[in-house]
Amino acid sequence: MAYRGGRGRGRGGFGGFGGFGVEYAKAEPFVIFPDITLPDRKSISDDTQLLKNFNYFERFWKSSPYHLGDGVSKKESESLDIERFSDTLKPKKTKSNARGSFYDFLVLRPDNFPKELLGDSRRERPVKRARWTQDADLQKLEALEKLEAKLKADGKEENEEGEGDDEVEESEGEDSDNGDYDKNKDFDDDDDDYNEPEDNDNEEVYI
Amino acid sequence: MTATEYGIVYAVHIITVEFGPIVSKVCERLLRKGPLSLREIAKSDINHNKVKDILSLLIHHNCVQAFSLEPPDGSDSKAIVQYIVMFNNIIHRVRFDKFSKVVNEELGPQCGSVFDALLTSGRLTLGQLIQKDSCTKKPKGSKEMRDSLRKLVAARFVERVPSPEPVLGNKEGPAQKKRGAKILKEPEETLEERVLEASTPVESIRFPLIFEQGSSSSSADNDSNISEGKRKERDVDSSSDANNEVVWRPNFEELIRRLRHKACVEIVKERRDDQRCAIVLNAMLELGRSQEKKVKTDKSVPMSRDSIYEEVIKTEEGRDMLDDKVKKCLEQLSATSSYLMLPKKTSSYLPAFVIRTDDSYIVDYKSIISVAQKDEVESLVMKRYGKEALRMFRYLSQEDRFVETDRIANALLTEKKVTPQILMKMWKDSYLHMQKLVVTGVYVPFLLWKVDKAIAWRKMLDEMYHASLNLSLRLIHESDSERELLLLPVDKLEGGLKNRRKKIDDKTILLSNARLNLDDAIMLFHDF
Repeated sequence: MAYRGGRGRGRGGFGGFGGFGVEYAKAEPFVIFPDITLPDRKSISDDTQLLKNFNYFERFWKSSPYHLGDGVSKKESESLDIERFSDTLKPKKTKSNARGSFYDFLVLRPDNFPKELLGDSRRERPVKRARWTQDADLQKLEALEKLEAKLKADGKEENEEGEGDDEVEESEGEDSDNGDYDKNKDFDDDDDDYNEPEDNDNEEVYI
Repeated sequence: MTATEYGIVYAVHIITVEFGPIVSKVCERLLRKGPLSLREIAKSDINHNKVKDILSLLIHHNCVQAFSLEPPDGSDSKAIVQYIVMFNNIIHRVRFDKFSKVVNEELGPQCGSVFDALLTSGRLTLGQLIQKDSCTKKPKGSKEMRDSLRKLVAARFVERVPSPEPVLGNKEGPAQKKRGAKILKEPEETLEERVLEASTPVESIRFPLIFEQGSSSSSADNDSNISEGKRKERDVDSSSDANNEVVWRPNFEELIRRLRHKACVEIVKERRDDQRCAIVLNAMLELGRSQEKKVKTDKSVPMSRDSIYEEVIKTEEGRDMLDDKVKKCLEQLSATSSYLMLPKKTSSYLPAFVIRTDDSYIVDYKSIISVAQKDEVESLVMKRYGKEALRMFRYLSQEDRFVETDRIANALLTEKKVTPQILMKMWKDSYLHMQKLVVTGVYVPFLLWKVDKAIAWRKMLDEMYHASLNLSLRLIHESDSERELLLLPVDKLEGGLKNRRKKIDDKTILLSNARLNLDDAIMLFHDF
């Protein structure tokens, strides 16, 4: 039996691969864009305005809230800066899409979407507070800074600002560093930089 | 026309670039399998809730439409909601720049920016538009937004969103009616066309402001219509009543119609010696536009010479034209002739572009578009297979029936041995249709050849989608390979880096322009 099995295996091996000495496929080097004869460059009409519009739309889609990516992992936005230890001190980005959920821009009504997509859980969201542009955040930040300066002069503490800064920081790069520094200024010196302010609310402080 | 293979690949690529691979996964599933229900889509390895999110996103951007089929008579089953991809709308996404240009030229930059907002957002209410405007650095104000939107709706560039879940009647119903009719003129509609038709509301609801203006001037309307119009006016104007606001979206149908008309004028301009013929044709198209029922209409409505003349003198170019000159142009347009196509220097037969009937003139869209389509296909045949092949292709196109190999060789005085080889090459690429005729007693079967326009045009379109896809991939590849360089500010570059930057910019411009040019040809074969 072992002999029979061996013979069968051997036969199979012989017939399958090198039996006739013929190659099944030619091995060619892979060229991603092989050279071809190209048409005359001048035959392609050039419309600058049209091209400008085209680029505007292309750029928009790449950074829009509608771009869901691969939907599996939240990739960190690539930055040319090196990773620093101080990055760990920054408030961690929440799991939700930093660009904001695209649902903020949808009119969730039965005359606009099929009922099974609206479902029971999705309540009719009022179409407000959607972040339409990055400019809006910058304007808000400027307005908040002005308000903060004004209230500091009055000697009051603004708690809401902390939350506003957090939201804005998620979408901005370098500006968020300033937000951090500003936030630290308002806190009491006794507070520990490494702990979130809310954490101290319920815990007992051991001296 | 169902989507070709590369049409599907191209559409999936567009969605991947704009919305990400997870969205294009759902899109591809729908494109390949046809309309599916929510449960069937979620059978793939995507989370059920994620599928809902993706479908909502695609519906919001007008790429997918939900519908349900009426259950058969007597059945108790509930109608299941299915989702179908609007293939045309996905391909339109790479033309947003052209649509934006049309609106800017026709209505100005204020309306243009409102329209751009609709293009990028997919669907918006007036309230959302006003809110978006208030977030910009220089807000224009709600009154300006309202006026711009009103103008856009009046020009039909913007429409109310379609019905979210139209119910399609059974196919058996209309078929029974057709049995009675002796002549079937219209080709059978695809499912996408049927869904589109079922979901589109009537004119008065689709363009509510126009209806409201119409009802105030017309005496035939009854009171209920007028009060409905007023209610709609209030709906559009009140930003506080957010729950009842009309949801607007771009009306691609009208935009394609405009581009079609522009293309027709260009086609005539290139082929007629007298440039004023193009001006007259343009006037005719402007005149008949509002009465066109569908985009791909073969003929326009009849127009009298006087009304054409009045329209011509309204334009800047046609202001100086005399009635006599207009008459001459119309005669030229109604006549067949031959023309010299430069720079290829091939002469070609030119059909009549306008049909004259007694006192009125009709624009023959079909003949204008077919001339341009023919030129495109012939140019490809010439480049790819050579002059002899082009002569055979032209001969077969004119014969419009099956012709045997030897007969072709005799008619064109080509070598009998070479002829079948050339014909075979074209047949392999689906530009020719071939049939074998076996005759008893003859060893070698006869080969019959024909140009089947439907097959050849479809093949042409597929190749153009493929080429567009390649251009886009090449551009992405080039940009990615210089990604770091592109992030650096332009004015701070010097020497070698500056040259590299210039090179990549030139490549981007060339590839993008090539893609935009190619898209004009795609529209010629698919949308016009």
